[in-house]
Formats: sequence, structure tokens, C-alpha cells
Amino acid sequence: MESIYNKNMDETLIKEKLDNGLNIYIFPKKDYVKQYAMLSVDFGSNDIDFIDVKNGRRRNMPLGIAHFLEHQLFEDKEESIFDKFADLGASANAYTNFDSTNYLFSSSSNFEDSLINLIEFVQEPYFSDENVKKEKGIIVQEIKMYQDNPYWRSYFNLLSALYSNHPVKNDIAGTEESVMSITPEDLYICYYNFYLPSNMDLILIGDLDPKRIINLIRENQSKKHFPHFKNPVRIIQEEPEKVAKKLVEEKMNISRPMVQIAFKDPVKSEEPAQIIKKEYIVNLLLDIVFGRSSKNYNQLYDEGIIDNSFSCTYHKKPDYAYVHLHGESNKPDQMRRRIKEKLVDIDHDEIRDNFQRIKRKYQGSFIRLFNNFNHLAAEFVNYRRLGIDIFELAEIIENITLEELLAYSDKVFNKDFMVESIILNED
Amino acid sequence: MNDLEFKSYQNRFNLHHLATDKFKTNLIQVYFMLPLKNEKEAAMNALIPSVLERGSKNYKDNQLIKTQLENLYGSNMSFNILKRGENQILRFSLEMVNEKFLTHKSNLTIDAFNLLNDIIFNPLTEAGKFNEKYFKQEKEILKQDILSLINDKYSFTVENCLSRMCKNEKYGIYKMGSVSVLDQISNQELFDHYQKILSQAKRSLFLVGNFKSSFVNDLFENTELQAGDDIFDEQTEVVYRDKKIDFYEQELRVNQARLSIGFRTGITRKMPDYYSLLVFNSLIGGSTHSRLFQEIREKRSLAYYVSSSIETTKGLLLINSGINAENKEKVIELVKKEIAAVAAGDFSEEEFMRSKKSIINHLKQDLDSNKALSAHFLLSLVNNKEESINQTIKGVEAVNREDIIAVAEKLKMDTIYLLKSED
Repeated sequence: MESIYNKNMDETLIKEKLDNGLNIYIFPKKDYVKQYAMLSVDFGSNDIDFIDVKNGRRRNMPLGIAHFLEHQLFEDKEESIFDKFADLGASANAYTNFDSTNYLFSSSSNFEDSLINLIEFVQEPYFSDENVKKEKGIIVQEIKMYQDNPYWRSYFNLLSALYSNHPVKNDIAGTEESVMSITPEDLYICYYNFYLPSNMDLILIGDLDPKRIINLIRENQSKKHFPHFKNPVRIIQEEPEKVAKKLVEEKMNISRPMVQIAFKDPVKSEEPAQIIKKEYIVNLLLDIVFGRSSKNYNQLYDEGIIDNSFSCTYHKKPDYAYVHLHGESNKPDQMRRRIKEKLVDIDHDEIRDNFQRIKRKYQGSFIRLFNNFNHLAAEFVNYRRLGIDIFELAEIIENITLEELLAYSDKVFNKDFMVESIILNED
Repeated sequence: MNDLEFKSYQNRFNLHHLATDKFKTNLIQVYFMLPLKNEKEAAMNALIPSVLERGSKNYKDNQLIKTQLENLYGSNMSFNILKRGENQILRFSLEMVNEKFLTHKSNLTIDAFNLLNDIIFNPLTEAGKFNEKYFKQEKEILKQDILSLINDKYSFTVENCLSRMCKNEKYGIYKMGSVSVLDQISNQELFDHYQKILSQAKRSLFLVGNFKSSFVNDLFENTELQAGDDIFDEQTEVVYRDKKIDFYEQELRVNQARLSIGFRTGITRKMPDYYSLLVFNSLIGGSTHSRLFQEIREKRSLAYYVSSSIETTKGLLLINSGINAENKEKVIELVKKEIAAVAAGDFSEEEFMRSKKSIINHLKQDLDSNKALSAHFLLSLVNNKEESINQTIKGVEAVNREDIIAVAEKLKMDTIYLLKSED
């Protein structure tokens, strides 16, 4: 058991790795009533193409299978999993994103029993023809709900314009057709490939006794046999540097047009700390040139071209990266034109003048992160997968220099790598 | 367990202070409460915070305001328009990092409070009115905000159901007014209304966090907040009556049909039945263990979401679900059947206990969030029944099966609204 105390934040992180490879991370929070546990599996909607550890065969799974598996694990032979947690006064939930599936509960008593419940239901799959068929109806309704969400629609239109091959272009839940094609056998194949203790992180937050909890988990895991410890090999098809499409337009029943713009940022092999640092550098840069205190934002707001719905972020993962700007506007063509003009001609003085202040804002948001358990767990696992503990973030932010911002400012907004996704009003 | 309680100071400023060093941030909120009268006043109330946020005497434009907030380690300032019963509540919220976590010395709390104070009380004016440009632009943006309700089909359905159900009551007024009345509002009228709010509206100031005593003591020398009544509801008409159920259908090009069913509970937070209503709501549709979630989603896969929610100042309960339109009758029948089953006492001891535990779990977790603590206290203050979270928990613990049956029997279905695709 390793214990790391961060004096500035007055927070402690306890780390332990069990013999079967399961990583346990605990943030003890004195005086808090809430207890929170998240079991995060390193398996997301992007993981559809991989080499089966059992027989070395390449597997190409239907889109949306990680999300389907998440739903399906809540099925049990006898009792509803939700009810098991509810009996303990805990409330369970789960979510799937591009790179992970996360099972969680929050409680204010009976933490240990709830924790064992969580581990047990994730480690005991039960997929039958009948319950798979039943879940399809529910997931198809979920997909339809998202299809009526203009932001979601135009976001995935944008990703499909950016990427020709990378699976991030696909909706996390898949399509109606792909979901209808999923079989119990598909689910079992994904399960035994990815749902290994060594492919999972368990994050626990609350007023907890770390030693006792770790012993409890160790005892539970020692009774179980896992067939292998190999992690599966994922296949990501090579992604060309250039974008797939420049523009996607669609019409929906909305109040005014929605504009999303992205710049594809070609990836090369980088150290994890470098990936995170670059993510922060470009986000700082975006805040300076298009954030709420920027000249550009305020000028376009004043001219009635953008409003509060506007926002911009840089997303960076080891295998893909892009700058993302979006907002609603009654002048979509002007908005597109003006943003392009501004981004290809960035004022270096503006970066110089505002750098320290924006950095300070990021220091504040790092401190704030420790207020919210759900947010902390999600961010923690996000950085942990890249090999970084969350306390190290403060230093990464601190060490960012003005020169690094200036260097990227001329690189990331390349018109050749720009795509646009527009949703127009129906009538 | 910690009993985190607000202390109310019986002076003319209505300060409610919860002192704790549990959080990494400090929270300050200023509230003004106004009765819902008509769409025009509702629109004016909603417009004022947006105009104020554009610029003040000392921070003349939004760029200067946002720059100052960033200087203050990314302090968050936000303005919200809430509807509680037949009242509109304007909330000005400011959250900043607790100075003790900063490596540099700073007067963050005072500086941030001065900014908030300047924005609320010292607007940028010209010739006794708001800055004309800010006024015009924000009016246009509010119009767009109101129109954008259609982009979120869930909220669109909820609001359409409620506005039809309460069409003859003040509650039927949308919390941001309407587009058509915005054109009638002049800058002068809005500014006069703003001054009226400052002098006449009910108001409160909430503090949650670890504030220096000097800050709290000097607070009222540093603000133009005037004396007035504390925020409590005297206005809401609780309608509870027998009537024929109204059906509405609306067509749009959508992939999923959305159903919203409105009920009258006749129960508000002031009443002893309130705790029973909380448990009933959890049992019928408040969580994943609920009857509707189990019957409509888990057993029959008719929906991805089906849930119930309550409004306890006006006495309403709403059930929402996203379905295939052809299953409409089936889902409505299931809703009726499940409520009837609860009214007949046809629910297990386990279901009953789960519902209670679920509410208690959520209430306890509210103790760990500054905003949840404040939201809980706000609702009890508005309903003139100040109580801590622990007092609410005690109330829930005392609920028995008969109380749940009584709530189910009392429920009256009022209005059904369906949004579906064009044929």
C-alpha cells in the first residue's frame, strides 16, 4: 500500500495493486457523509476491433457493444441489481464513453456490502437470448432520444467529417441496426477479453478505512479464478492525416442554426505527460483567443454573431486529437467566416498579455476538482490511464510556458485540417 | 454525522450563513423573489440579470468582468431564473476557491464579493436607463433563449404539459416570459422595474463555506443590499380538484415520442404529508428501483427513461417518458395501474424500505455539496418551514405504509401531453 499526501491540497491518495492486477485507489475524505465507488473498465466504444486472447482470431464487433455490455451486466438471474443496491440504501449507475466503461454507486452507509455488490455484479456476467432481446428495445429508445438532440447529432457529424477510419467517429451507443445484431456470444467474447481485473481500476472516495477496505477486496478477489492475465491487443486502423469530409449539413427541428467547427490535429507517438501537457497548453491558448475574456469572443458577441452558447475545447488522447468550437447562431455563415479569419491570424501579444491570468484560472479549477466525488473519480481515471496521478496535474500546469503556447498557436489551427458541421432549421 | 445547518441572523438583511471548512470553495448567493404576475413582468425579471452581467460602473463591459473573475483564480459567477410555486426567483451566485489552498496570499473573497456587488447594484447606466446597446442585445438573446426550448425535447415536453395544465393559473407562465411580450418592453420600463426590485422584492443572502469573521461582520457595509422581507411564498394557489383529464398532442419531426403526465398532489412542503409524498415519489418513479422503471422499462422495454418528479410549492407531480407513439395507451394504462396498486397497498415491505432508504441516501449526500445544501435550504425558506437536512431525514424516517397509500389515493391525474412525429 502506497500513500501520497499532497500538502497544498490537503488530500491523500492511497494506491494498491492486487496480485490479479486490479488497481485500487482511495481518496480518504474525513467528515464527508457520501461514499463513492467507481469500477472503471478499460473498454469503450472505440474498442470494436481486436485480437481475441483465447484463439488469436481477429474480432470485429458490432458498433455500440461496450455500451450494450454495460446495460447487460445489470441483468442478474434472480434479482434486479438496482434493487440489491437499493436494499442497502445505495444508488448504482454506469456510463460508457469512447475509452472506458464505468460502474459506480454512491452511498451514505453500508459501503462495504455495496462495494462487494459492485465487484460481484461486474465480475459475474449473465447473458441470455431473452435478456439480450429485452435490452435491445431499451437501447433503441436511448438511441432515438439522442437522435433528437441537435448537439449530439451535429457532434457526431463533425467527428465523422474529421475521421475516415478511427472508431471515435461512431456514436457510443451504436446504430439501431448494429444494436439489433448483437448476440450473447458477442458479449461473452468482449467480456472475457476486456473484463479482467488487470484491465480495471477501482476508485473509492469517502470517509473510509483504507486498510480494511483493501483487505476486504483482496479477500474477495482471492476466491475467484480469472482465466488469463493478458490484456487484449486492440487494432486501430491507420487514420490518414487529412480529414474525411470538409462539411456536413443537416436539417432539424430547432430554433436556430448550430455550428460546430473542428481542426484535426495529427497524432504522433508521445509520452503520457506530454499528451496531458499539450492538452492543457492548447486549452489555455483557446481560452486566451476565444474564451469569455478574449477580444474575439467579446467582439463577435457584440456584433450578434455568437452568444453564451459558444464554447471551445481541445481534446487529446494518445490516438486522436482535435480542436472543437461550437455554438448556436442566427448568422451561421458569418460565424464560420469570422472564426476562421481569427484563428489563422492569432495575435501573439494577446497571448503574452493574458497568459499568467488564464493559467491562474486553471490552477483554481484544479483545486475545485476535489469538491465533487463523481467528477474527481472520472478525471482521476482519465489521467491514470495515461499513467499520471491527479496531483501531478498541478505541476504540469505550473510548468507550462508562454513559449510553448506561442509555438502551438501557429500550428494547431490549420485550415487544411478544418471541418464543419452545421444543423439548419427545418423550414 | 455532521449537522450542517444554516444560521439565520435576525437582522434586516436576512443573512443565512452555513459555516463549514469542509469544501475547497466558498459560496455566496443573493436571491430576489418576485410573484409571477404576467408574461411581461416575468420577461422583465428574466432580462435584468442578463443586462446587469454585461457591465457595471466599475467593470464597464463583460470582457473586464470575465478578466477579473479569471484573476480571482477562475471564480464562478452565474445568474439563474428559478420558478418555485408561483414565484420567480433571481439567483446571483458566486463561488471562489478558499484562500487557504492558494500558495499566494490573496483577498479573494472580498475582491470577488465586491465584483458581485458592483454588478448587481451599480449597473452601467446612461440618462437614467441601462446602457442601450446592452439592453437591446440582451433582449434579442433572451428571445433566442426562450425559442431554444424546442432544441431540448425533454424540457419542451415538460413545459408544454405544465403550461397547458396550469393555463388558468399563474404557474402556467413560463419562467422567462414569452417572445411576443419582449417587444413591448422599453429600456426605461426595465430600469424602473429593476429599481422596484431592489427596493421592494423579497431578498436573502446565503453564505456557505469558511468565511473569515471579519468578512461576515463587515458584509453589510460593503454592499448596497437594502433591508426588506426574507424570501417566502405568500402567493401560490394550490389547485386540487376533480376534473376530466385533458389530452393534448403535438406533432413535430422527431424520432422519439415524448409523454408527460401531470398530476395534482394537493401536498406542499409545509404540510405533514410532505415526507410521505417524497417516499411515494421514490416508490412510483423517483429511481431505478421504482415501480414505473421496473414495469415500463425493465419488464417491457417500452422506454429508456421513465421517471416521476414533484413540485412541492405548487403541489404537482409529473411523470415523463420517451416512447414509441403507438405505445401511448399502453404506457398510460401502466401508469394508472401502478398508482392504483400503490393505493391498494399492493407493494412489498422491501419496495417501501428501498424508497425510504433511497431518499435518505440522497439527502445525506446533499450534506457534502455546498450547492445542494443551499438548494435544500432555499426550498424550505420559500415554503416558510426552515429545516435542516437532518430534520427532513427524521420526517422521512417516520413515514409508514398507510401514509404512502394515502398519498396515492390523493393523487389526481390532470393533463396528458404527447409530442410525436408527423404522420
